[in-house]
Amino acid sequence: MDWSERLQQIDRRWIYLFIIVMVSIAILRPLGLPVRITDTTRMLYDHIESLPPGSVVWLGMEYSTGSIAELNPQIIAVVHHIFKKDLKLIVSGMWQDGPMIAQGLIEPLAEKYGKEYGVDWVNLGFRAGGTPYIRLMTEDIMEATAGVDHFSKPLKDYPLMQQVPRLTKEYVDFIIVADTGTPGSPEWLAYVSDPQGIPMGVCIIQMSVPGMMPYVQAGQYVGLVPGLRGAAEYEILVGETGPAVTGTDTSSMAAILVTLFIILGNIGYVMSVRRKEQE
Amino acid sequence: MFITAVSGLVVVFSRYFQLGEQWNLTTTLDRWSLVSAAFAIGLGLGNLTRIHYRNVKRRREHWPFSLYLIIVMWAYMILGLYQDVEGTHFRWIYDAVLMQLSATIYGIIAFYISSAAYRAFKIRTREAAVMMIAAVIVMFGVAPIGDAIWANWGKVSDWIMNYLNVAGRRGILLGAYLGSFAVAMRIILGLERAHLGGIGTGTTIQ
Repeated sequence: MDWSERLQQIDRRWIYLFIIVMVSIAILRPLGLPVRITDTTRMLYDHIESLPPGSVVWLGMEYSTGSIAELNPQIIAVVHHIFKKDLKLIVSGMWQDGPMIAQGLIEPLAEKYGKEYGVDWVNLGFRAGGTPYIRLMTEDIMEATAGVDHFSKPLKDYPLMQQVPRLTKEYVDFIIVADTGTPGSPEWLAYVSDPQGIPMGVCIIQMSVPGMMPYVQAGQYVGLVPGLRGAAEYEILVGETGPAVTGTDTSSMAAILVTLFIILGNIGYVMSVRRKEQE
Repeated sequence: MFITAVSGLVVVFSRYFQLGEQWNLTTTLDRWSLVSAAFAIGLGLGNLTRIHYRNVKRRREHWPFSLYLIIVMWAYMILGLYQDVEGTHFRWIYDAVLMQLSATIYGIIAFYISSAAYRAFKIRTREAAVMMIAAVIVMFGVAPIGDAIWANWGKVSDWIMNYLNVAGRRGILLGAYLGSFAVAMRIILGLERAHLGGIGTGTTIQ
């Protein structure tokens, strides 16, 4: 096997090994590269910043445990902002994992900011049904949720839910949807945000960003937090730097490594083409 | 087929023409849908148990996995009913096992993507070269290293995402939504009956 073939056929196990080594280096010895704040993240931040204290923010948790590495840091950063601004928070989920994940993330933050469950925030939990569930909440939250929250406790006992009987513009000021698939933010847009005229922003994994950009450009999403990088940007904006800022260094290392392998593969390819031409 | 047609037409007339809003028919359909979905979970549980019980009973290939699935599924469900979803043991299993395993499996994709990018991005044609260059620019634009190399790297990456990507995506989305509308109309009109079962998936009756 000559060099042109060797460069094109590097054993994938070497690639895996290099990825592990490079990512580990980035985690153990962070590069600390500055993170530029992208326009879409700032738009979401600015919108939340513009909400007056006491405004109600709805968080649709439409993702499963597979995406926690990218989306959990985003949710933590956004909830920091919500509680710092003294906004009310209601959580729901069309995905069964969403409210479970949210509970684990929000509870410690609520404790830190002295927010009381039922007064400052409520977790409605998961309900089967998908889009009919969120659409029915625009008519009557009590009916759509069978009148109970994530803990199967009656919603009527919570002051926050007494203030918010329906998911309409009259009662809810902003919707944030964290999603990785269907049903997700496009469903929230079509069945709740657009018909009710409630502004909406999204927290998504990096892979979903290209698909969501048309909605941002059309003004249907007032902001978008893109992947782990977006989480790092939001952490910087709210002044609560955490794991996402370190995490972006891993993506830098991985980008360098993948590009190096792509270059090596192409050098091998060009060499083999030239050799065939000479023959 | 009749139920599908009536339900579909009620929603279409209500949504597009605001007809029959005073009877709140779409809300009623939403209620029915929620109740049906709740029952569907129970049905799925029963069906899954039935299929895997058969695998165990007939000692089919990989039957121990079927047995494992039945035990874990029912044990976790019973624990959840006993403790509620935020019960100590229920939550611990969720956080320490399910969440970590799921995130790990998702994380493994990074290795496959790296290997696939190395093999796929070859400048065999002009189109492939354009795709490879765009991919590298966006990849470095998303990671902070891009801005560290050149201050305007992020702007170039954003331009690709905001113009080239959005133009293509918008076309795809419009096509997909028009296609969905056409399929919905075919189902409502009874031209597409695969959802009724028994005919075979994707069968179309003209």
